[in-house]
Amino acid sequence: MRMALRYRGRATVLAIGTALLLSGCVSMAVDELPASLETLQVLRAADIPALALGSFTVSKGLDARSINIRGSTMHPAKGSNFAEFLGETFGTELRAAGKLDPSAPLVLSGELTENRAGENLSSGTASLGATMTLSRGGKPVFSKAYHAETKWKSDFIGAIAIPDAFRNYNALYAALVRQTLSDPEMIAALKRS
Amino acid sequence: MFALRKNSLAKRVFALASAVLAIAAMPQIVQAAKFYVDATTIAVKPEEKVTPATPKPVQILYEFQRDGGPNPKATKFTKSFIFEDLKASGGFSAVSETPVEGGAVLSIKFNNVVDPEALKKAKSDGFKTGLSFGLFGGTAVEDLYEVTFEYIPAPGAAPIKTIVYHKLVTTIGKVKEVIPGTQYKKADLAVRELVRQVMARGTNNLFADPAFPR
Repeated sequence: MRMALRYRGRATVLAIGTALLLSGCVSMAVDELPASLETLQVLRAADIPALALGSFTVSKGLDARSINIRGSTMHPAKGSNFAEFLGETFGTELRAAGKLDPSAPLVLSGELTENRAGENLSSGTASLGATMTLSRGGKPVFSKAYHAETKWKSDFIGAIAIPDAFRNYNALYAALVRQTLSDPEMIAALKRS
Repeated sequence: MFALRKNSLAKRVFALASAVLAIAAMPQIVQAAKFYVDATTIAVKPEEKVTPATPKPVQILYEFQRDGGPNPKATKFTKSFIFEDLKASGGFSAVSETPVEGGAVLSIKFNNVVDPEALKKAKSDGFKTGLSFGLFGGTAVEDLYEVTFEYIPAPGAAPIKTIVYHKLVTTIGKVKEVIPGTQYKKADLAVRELVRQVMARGTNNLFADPAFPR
């Protein structure tokens, strides 16, 4: 019995080793997401005023420096963190819609509260959360927590599973931005502020 | 019982070692890869060609996707091709990533559609091809593309939409069937041609739509 367990253990180690070999461990920076027609349409329809972006910070104790999948990591640009990347994604969407104005009195800031991605050789999950705050003249006028998550079917082969996981995680940023900017409460706050 | 397990383990170890060898042989296999793009179904014939008389500026929103999800690396790789082809189309006076006068927007989603059954077969065939170094049977894999063009002439206007389908066939090792289309030895050249053909068809479909501003 002990021998069988030992062999099973070795088989597991070999399987993991081979899975890693098949994938090749990589460390890659998260890629900037393009602006989308869906978000642009939402912003046009909402007819909100242009706004500036404030600081995007990381909630205390949250790791926002990397995401690890089977020994491979995705990280933000050098010297940055995923909260700043969220800010950049807001910037991309607002700029494309002509709604980004660094001198605008309305300022949107964010605090990243959740940052997670993982998979178990057959399925994967990732989630992202942030508290978004709208301010005018330095005074908060609206604040709300937003959350986006995704699930996908993962693969045994790392060369397929790792990029899949990174792509799914990456997509959450655009999803969170769209969710925030299409939220009727946020739109109402933007219009009355 | 233990003997059976040990035998099974030996087979598993052999299979895993074979996989590692197959991967080690990858450079030779990759060198044997060929790429095919067939324009037959989507080529724009001279008599079909439409060019707007008074081209207007347009804002471009472009994204390459894999199965509907973002693929930023491929977006970055193909973006310059998209802009080159839009400028060459003659249908727009200027193409920009930021808002333009008049508010026209063209969204292009270049989606690499994944067929789960085809992927399963490709993995199985690819493994066999790898084990035999491509000598005793090859693999032909189809990459399917569903490219959605959505043009909004002005804020609030109804979108003009067209979808173009295309495919890239990659062969590794000896493949018996004849693959239609032009053969490329480098993947980037094949992708460039595929994008060119898709863009020619997609933009012409838009220009031919009666709602497209003349």
